[in-house]
Amino acid sequence: MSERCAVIGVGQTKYAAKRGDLSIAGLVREAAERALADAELRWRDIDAVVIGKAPDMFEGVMMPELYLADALGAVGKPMMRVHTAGSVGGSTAIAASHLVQAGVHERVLTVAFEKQSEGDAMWALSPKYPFQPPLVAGAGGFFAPLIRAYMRRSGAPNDVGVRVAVKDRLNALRNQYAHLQLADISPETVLSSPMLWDPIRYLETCPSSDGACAMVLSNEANAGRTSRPPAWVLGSAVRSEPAVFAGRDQINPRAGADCARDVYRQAGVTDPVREIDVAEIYVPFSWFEPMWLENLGFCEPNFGWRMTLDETTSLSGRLPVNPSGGVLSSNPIGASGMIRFAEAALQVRGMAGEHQVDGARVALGHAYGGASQFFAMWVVGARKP
Amino acid sequence: MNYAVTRMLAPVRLPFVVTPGEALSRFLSALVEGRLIGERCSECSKVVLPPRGACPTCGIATNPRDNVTVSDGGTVVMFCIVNIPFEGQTIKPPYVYASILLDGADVPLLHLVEVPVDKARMGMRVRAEWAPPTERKPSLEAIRWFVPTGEPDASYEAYKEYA
Amino acid sequence: MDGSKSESRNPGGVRPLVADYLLEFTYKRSLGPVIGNFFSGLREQLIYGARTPSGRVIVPPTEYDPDTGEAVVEHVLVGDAGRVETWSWVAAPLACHPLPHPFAWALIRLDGADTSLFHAVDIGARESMKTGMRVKARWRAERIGTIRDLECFVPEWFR
Ligand SMILES: [Zn+2]
Repeated sequence: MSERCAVIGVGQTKYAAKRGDLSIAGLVREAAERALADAELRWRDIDAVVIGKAPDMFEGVMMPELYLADALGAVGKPMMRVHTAGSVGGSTAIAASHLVQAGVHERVLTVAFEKQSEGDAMWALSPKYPFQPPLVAGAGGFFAPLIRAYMRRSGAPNDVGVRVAVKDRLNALRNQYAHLQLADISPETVLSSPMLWDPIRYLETCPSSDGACAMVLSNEANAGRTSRPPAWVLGSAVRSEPAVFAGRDQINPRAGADCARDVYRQAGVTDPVREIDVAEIYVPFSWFEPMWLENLGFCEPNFGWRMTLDETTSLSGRLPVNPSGGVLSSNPIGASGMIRFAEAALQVRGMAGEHQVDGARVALGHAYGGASQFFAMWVVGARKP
Repeated sequence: MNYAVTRMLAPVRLPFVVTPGEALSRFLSALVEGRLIGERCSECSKVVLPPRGACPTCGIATNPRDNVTVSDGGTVVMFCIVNIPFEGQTIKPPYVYASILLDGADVPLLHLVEVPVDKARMGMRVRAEWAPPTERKPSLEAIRWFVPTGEPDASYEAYKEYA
Repeated sequence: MDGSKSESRNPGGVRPLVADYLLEFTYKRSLGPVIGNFFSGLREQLIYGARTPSGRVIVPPTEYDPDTGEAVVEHVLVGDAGRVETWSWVAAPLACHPLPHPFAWALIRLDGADTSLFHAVDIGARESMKTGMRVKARWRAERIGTIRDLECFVPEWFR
């Protein structure tokens, strides 16, 4: 890495089940303009645009880089698209950061979006292809067995998922952009919600959202020119692995653990639970909080659920996880990874508003996708590396 | 104007001709004969199914000589109970969807288990119930579902690395 | 595909299976204010373009200036007749085409517009089609607010 890279602008749309007032172009524009305003820049100040979104069938747009060039001010500039399933928001931000770190561009706009209301994610995840196993389980059917196996493996009590579901929705009440605003959330409401894919209850799953997230990334020379503090990229990494291979640990995937090790090494983090102040982790089903805490090295295997139960991960705990409300409260799939990265940046900039973690200096943003196959992570900090 | 137009329907219609390739074609054709075949990697000796023409661990190509017959009996290593109806579903909820480690295979296969949902458990021994030969198509639907064999459950130690 | 070649590569086995597959889905697009206005106009037999900050009139409208990326500033009514800028003859229409008999695809610069609209021209014979000729919209009787409310264009001399 030759150049330092900083987040100097963050923009998010309000996340909602349906943004019927906007086209997809209008949706990404809303996020991008807010990121530019935060960075105190204009369209002409941007050198290049890097965009990411969910797989094409989700909302039926196959060439967003073509369709959205004018909406994202990319006329006459380099524009490219990144494509890594659910982790795409994270890997898109990382691809954009590489352009800055490599010294290719000074200021890069990166954007990710999803308009779930225009398509059908459940259909897009598992259309009935010839010769492929029949569609029998739906979106949660792949992950629910892993959760049951995790419960068995770790000896976790049954209510850990319920605790996460409540915590993240309470956090969302502090985030004006969050889709779900469930003022009456409680263990009782989660427990009494329908069991969709046993052991996953309705209120332990993520919603289906429209929304976009954008960031302006800058080199060091330009990062000092704005009045708001930057978030410095201290490390970033991407890893992948096949969906099926002999000996694969789907609950604690090797790719995720390797990705975390790499990003901590770059950031100089040797004791993550001590040195990281806040984490935005991609948790689409409540039980993934303890599972990913282990995969990310915040604790030994099979101990993640204890961090949830002893409130280490609550907003006032030692390692707050998903103060924004997380994927459980807003899930525009293609953007969800970038939202984690952007929220991590907001925390170390001290700009997270009502869900700000006091004194946050170092934060982790995490995204995963596919059959727990793709991982993207970054660590950002308030202090220049 | 009476009211503003705010929405449009955008139908997408894409006809494809698809082939599963040689390795998967051998697997699917064997299903019609009532057999399950996997591929044994010549490097790591692991048996993977459905086969994909290459070992996903070593990346080396497999060939027809690497095909091995795998038992149609195995162990439920993970499962969930599907209670939710959705577009394209072929059976009525609730039902059990499981990850089944077939005897002789090194990766589990996902399929249905025909068992009352409150009787489903990890470690349960099951066997394929095949569709009648005349109704079998080259698809995993040639197996209707798996049914409990009544054997004692496998010990957790025996399958935990797959769960 | 040469079947014998395929078998020689595959000594142990089976010829690869093949199947037709139709991927089909109807997406429900939210239009936003600019495209929404364009479709609303079509229902009333009116064609609206969008004016960019530099004063150009884009038809069909885009939400952002294709030259600069600035948001467009106002809706502008343009004519439903114009001039053919270039065209291509379709001798054997496909099922998905707007007309069942031979026709021309054309780029049409409507009166008052600074960009051209891509649409079909129903003119009977290829020999009648000329770059620079004047054409006029033929509207559908039943209009619901889609681009198909414009059935096609026809030469002005048809009237
Ligand atoms: Zn191998």
